[in-house]
Amino acid sequence: MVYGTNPEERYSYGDVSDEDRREFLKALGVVAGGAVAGATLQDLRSEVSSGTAEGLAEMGEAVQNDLTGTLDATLLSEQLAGLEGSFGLLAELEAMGVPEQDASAYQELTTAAWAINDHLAEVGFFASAEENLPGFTPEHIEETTRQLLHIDALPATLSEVGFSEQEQTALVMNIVNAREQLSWWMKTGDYPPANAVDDGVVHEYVAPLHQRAAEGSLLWIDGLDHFLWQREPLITGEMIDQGLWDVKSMLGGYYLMGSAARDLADGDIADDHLTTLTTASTALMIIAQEFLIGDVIRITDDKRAPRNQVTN
Amino acid sequence: MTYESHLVELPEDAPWNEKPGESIVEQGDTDQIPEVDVTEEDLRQTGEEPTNWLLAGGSYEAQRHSTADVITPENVDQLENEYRLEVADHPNDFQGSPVIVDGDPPIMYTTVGPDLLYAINARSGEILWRHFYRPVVGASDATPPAERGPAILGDTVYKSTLDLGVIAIDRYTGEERWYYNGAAAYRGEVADDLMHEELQWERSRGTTSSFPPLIYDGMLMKGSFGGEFGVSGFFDGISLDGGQPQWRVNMTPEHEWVGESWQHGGATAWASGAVEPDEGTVVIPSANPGPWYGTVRPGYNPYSCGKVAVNTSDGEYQWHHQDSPHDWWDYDSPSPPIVFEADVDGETRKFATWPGKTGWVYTVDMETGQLHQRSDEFVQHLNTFNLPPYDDLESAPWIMPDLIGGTNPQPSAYDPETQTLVVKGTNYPIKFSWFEVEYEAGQTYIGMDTVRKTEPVMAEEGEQREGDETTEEEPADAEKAEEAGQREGGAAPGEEDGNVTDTGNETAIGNETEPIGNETAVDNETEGDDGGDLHEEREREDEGDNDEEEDETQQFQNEEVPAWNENAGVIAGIDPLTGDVKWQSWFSWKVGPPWGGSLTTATGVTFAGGPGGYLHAFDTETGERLSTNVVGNHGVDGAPVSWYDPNEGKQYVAIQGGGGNQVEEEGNTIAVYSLEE
Repeated sequence: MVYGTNPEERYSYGDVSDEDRREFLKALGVVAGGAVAGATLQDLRSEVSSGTAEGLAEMGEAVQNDLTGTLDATLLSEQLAGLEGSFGLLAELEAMGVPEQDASAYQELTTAAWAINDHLAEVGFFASAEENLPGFTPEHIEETTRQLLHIDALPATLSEVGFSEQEQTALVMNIVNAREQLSWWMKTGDYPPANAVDDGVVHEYVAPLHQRAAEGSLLWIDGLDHFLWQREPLITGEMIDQGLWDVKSMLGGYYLMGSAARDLADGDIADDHLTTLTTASTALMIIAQEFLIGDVIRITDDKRAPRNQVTN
Repeated sequence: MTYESHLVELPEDAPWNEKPGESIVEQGDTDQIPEVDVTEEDLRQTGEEPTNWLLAGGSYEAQRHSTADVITPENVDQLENEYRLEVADHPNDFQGSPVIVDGDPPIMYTTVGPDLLYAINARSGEILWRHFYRPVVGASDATPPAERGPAILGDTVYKSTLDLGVIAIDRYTGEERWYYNGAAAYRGEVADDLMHEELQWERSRGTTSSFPPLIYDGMLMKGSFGGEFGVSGFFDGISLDGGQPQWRVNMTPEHEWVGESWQHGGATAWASGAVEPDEGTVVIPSANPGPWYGTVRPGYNPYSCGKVAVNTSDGEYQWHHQDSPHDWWDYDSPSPPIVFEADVDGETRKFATWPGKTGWVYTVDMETGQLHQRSDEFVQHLNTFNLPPYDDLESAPWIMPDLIGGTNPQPSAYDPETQTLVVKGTNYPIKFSWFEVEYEAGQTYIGMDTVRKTEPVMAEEGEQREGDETTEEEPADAEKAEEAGQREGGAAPGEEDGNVTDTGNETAIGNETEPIGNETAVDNETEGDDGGDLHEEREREDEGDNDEEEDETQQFQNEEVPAWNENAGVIAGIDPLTGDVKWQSWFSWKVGPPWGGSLTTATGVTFAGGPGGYLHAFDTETGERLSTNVVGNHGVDGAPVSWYDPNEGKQYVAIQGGGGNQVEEEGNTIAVYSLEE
């Protein structure tokens, strides 16, 4: 089975290995030769065809048509500017290490993103995406990633918020290299109903897929002040470093989603690009939160800080 | 993150005191119960007072530590069996801890299964009254959820009921005083009838509460149960004067959950908490989030799988700690916490500590909730926190701890002299995989497939292994267990000797035995345990193809798990401040894991039941096994208690010997031992 394969060995923390590149290209049908070393998004773009992109434009159009409210371009622009500022705080968090009691440094990263999130929920963006976009099958991920590579503005957008060329490549590769795990996240209606099995889902209580990805990311980031402080005896510098990359990835995903929504509000986005960016940004937020959990939250003995010596 | 706003609205027009069940009282010689005024000060002092055991945990701090000092490491092998009671007619879940009110004679109050409450002459074993509560969902003695004991204050004894209630009972007569209906409202909505419709679950597989209420400073507190059944957990504060609701903690604070997922987020609070009495803070154990697949509930899912500290006076949040945030493996945290004081770097500080199902002991600062120490593993870890694959059990890794443990609801004990926490743990490997199958035509669903390994490959019949809980002197099979019991001066179950009180005492209450047996007879139902640990059986039944299942199961049973030490469980002594595992006493795969609680004494003795039918005594500091006494030919899942009877000059130890939760042999024994000074 391809579903559910743990992508732990194929996840990049911003510094892409040649093996990751080959895995990525292989997933997209390219047998890579020796020229993968140091490849950027632009380089990869030349290796990967855009494919047929069948139906992506229709899906994007439907997402737009099924909104129940009006996107506010001004609000989105203002909050995106705020979100851009959050990326500038990441270096300070690295220097800070474990937060002090009652700190709010991680929470401050998400203030603008929550404002965007509330607006997207209010206008029915998440519900429309759930209604009109397919679930995260590996095939859908592969198809949208081909398109993502061919969005001209992508490198510039990611550069705006501080992703280096290497990090941009890592972001996109992580989506594809984790495509099986992404498939665990289903559209709400695809979960078993509670009346069918004991541990089923009451569908009306479960948020749409894209909303779960977005809000889940923000909840994980918000809780890090408390979590890192509370678990200080277990926390290592490596956990902080890896967690910050996961946080940056989630915020990067949110920035892409917010940018797409702003462009939609401005009438300045192609329908197939709306589908591609909504899918890719959601996938980024999912896989980054899954890895944040593994990198920071679930701490096994082999990676915890050494037991502190208590004197009494 | 803001965790403060978690209190639930309590509608005044809910039927808070209307009882959806029926009480039946049977009385014996109730005149034997001495009038003793049990005050809140007595509750505060019970941990220091050797002549009683007034709280299930032995003290507000739940240290399960007796200051009685007649029994020592040097003489514990001279324990005498005072009596064994066989109660409730049929084998049942005996996971509880009795309370003992001092007097002449001391009186034992104990629950049996979820429905029965007994008052017993603790010196002679004579049953003085019995209260049977039959909820609307009926009654069954076919493996219902256990009830782990009563609470007591003044002239009243309090018991949680299967229908989420609390029943207050005259402790001299067994007659009911009032009933608190915890299902009268839910998520702020008043029940249409006596119980909210979402809380009306089938017996043995629904929401309920199964630990004794906690009483502190005029407040009675109890939780809810059944995280797998689509509920959202809550924890109630109730007035002692008539059972009026005072506050309710929502264990799934909605602003910390995505969408409306909090509404079926689980995180029930079914196990008993501990109280830090100086500040009036209660530490509440919490269960797993629901549903099991975490992708519908991203985020930490506070307060699931950990502990939550709130004020006893108003329920306001103090702190919380999650053993397994955003859990996928049923690593909830039901083991009751223990509060203790210790000097650290010259400063006296208070801590809360508990073993998790994750297989480590967590010790947090009692004031802030910050982790002070996580111990070394006390059971094995293998691929821990590895996410299960989808529809691919074959390539799923073996994971340890399994969904039963490390430590599940077993109450630990603490010895402040040696700074030793005594925990019980389970040590089986398990495989998890998500699967998708046709449930009905055109309808798909996903469940969790699990295979648990309880036997090593190439196990040989009759093979003896270290940790088999048998010795040349005391083999564990039933017949020889009886012989061993006789050798030790005690009587085997059902056998009369000078001190034995068996079913003959029940008969002394008149027609009690037979009618109760009839009252409790309903159709056999599946094991409910605590709502979550037995998914394997149920879900695999849903698959329908039994032959295929058996082949698959056999395939996995033939798989080696080289990392597994082939022991089913352990009793371990751990320093909760340093995290050192001081000692481990393993139980082999042949006898099963030890269940139930433990007890420490001021003289350095630890008592704990074992799966082969014994009450073991260990040296608390070193783990040396000092003695073994026969309880019965069944597992011993109760939590031992101890008291000193000054009129007899004896220290007593009592334990419920039911079992069957993790081993095949069920029972229905209350065994009491003593040693004369």
